[in-house]
Amino acid sequence: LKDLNNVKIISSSHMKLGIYSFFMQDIHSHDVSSVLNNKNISMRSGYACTEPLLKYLNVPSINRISLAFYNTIYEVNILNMTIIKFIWIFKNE
Amino acid sequence: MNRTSIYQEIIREHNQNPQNYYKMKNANIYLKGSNPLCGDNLEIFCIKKNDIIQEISFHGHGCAISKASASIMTTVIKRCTSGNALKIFKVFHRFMTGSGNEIYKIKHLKDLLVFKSIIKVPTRVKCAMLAWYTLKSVIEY
Repeated sequence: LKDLNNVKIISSSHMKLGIYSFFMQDIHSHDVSSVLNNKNISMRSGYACTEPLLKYLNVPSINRISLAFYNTIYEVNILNMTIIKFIWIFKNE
Repeated sequence: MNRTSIYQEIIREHNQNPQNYYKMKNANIYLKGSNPLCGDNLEIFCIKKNDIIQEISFHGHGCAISKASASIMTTVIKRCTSGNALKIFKVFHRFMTGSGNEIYKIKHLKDLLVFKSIIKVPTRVKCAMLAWYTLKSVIEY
């Protein structure tokens, strides 16, 4: 995700757990989560109960994925491919 | 994305190139609509004279569905009387909540039928209705 131009990951700490919050320029978080929902990937989207922080960061809304030992590389690849396809559809059509 | 997808071509088109998407400077009615749970914020600007909505525009950020819904709404509502606009709101509300299908009989509302696929996703119905609830406040202003 880090390599995609449109995707901005919040927090760049090296001591992170498997929780990643990110947002996309000009694409709302609910649209991202709806599309991933169809691929059986669930994620938190919107303000995530942190409205004051997001306003401070000047971010309209975020997506948050939580990875743990039960997730597979295959699922991460689906996530990546779906987001790349989604950005292409929303930006290039 | 197929035809049953909630992101149909018309919705994507209205999201990328929304109609009447600007901040109107000489508006005599200005109201904000927001959905704090998902972070959608919408402002509606309107010039109402002699009970007729002469100009209507919107601005703000939201998901593709709320933006497309607001964009189509402004095209449908423009130059309507308050009474007619309220009727259209009620017809669309019944359509989205699955309690009425009068919308199929009204020709100039056929653009709104793209939201048919969203009825199956109850969590997104509020996105499509945000602009319309704000419009209702504008009418009753």
